[in-house]
Amino acid sequence: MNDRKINIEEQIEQTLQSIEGIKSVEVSPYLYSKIKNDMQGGKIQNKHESYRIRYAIVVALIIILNVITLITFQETKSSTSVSASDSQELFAKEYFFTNNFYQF
Amino acid sequence: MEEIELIKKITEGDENAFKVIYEQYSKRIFNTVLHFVQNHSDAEDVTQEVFIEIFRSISGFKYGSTFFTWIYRIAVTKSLEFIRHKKRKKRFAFNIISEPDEIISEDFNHPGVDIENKERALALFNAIRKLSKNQRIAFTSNKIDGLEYKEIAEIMKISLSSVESLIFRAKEKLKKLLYYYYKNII
Repeated sequence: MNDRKINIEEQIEQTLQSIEGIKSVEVSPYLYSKIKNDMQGGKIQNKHESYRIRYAIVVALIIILNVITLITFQETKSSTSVSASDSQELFAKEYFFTNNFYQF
Repeated sequence: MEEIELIKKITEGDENAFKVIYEQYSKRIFNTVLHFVQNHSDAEDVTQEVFIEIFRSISGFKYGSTFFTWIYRIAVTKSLEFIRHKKRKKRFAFNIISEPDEIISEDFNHPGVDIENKERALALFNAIRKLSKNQRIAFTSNKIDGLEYKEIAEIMKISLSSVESLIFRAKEKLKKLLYYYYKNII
């Protein structure tokens, strides 16, 4: 019984030492190609680069929005000025400030 | 080229600099991942993920530790993520409720172990799978990957005494597990 216990303990010690001096395993020569393929496929961008791209997109969006706002504003302005002259005419008609003032 | 310079170049998207780093660390990282996931083809997939992550988040490396420590941490995190994902997938596939350690029950024959130690190493790798996450990281990093306590403390972000205690408890648990294993066959 005691011998058995000693034997088990010896086995345990040898098992714990069995991984000492374990040899390294070589990496597949194709592994880098796989990684490179993923990188060239555009699936991967490093965070620094992707932040730069995101920043560029945001700046471009802001510029586009500004241009759209400017164009819309100018259109509104011109249409407002037209409608102002229209209303002046209307006012003149209404209060007889027209050229044919004496015709009535 | 200096490592700092290489890191800077990778940050700018330089693939040649990345290849230099890959050649420098791939073997060590692959072996670390292999010790954790205990399967050759899975280790290749995880190593691939590790290097992709290195390329992606290298701008997050702040020189607070050595570059190797930073890479090793990514390798350990990715390996544990993979193990967790694999366990979940198997549990879902077989629709069984059992202890997670029972689910991954493939035997791992490490190709770098001498023939006379094959059987023992197999038993040890099986037992290592039954350790808690932190015990497993500390034991594998120290006893198989040969990292010093100081490096492990940096990687795990814990104190030196905690590393010592984790390794001590891991050894005690392994002894117990191996005792039950040999009790049945001797």
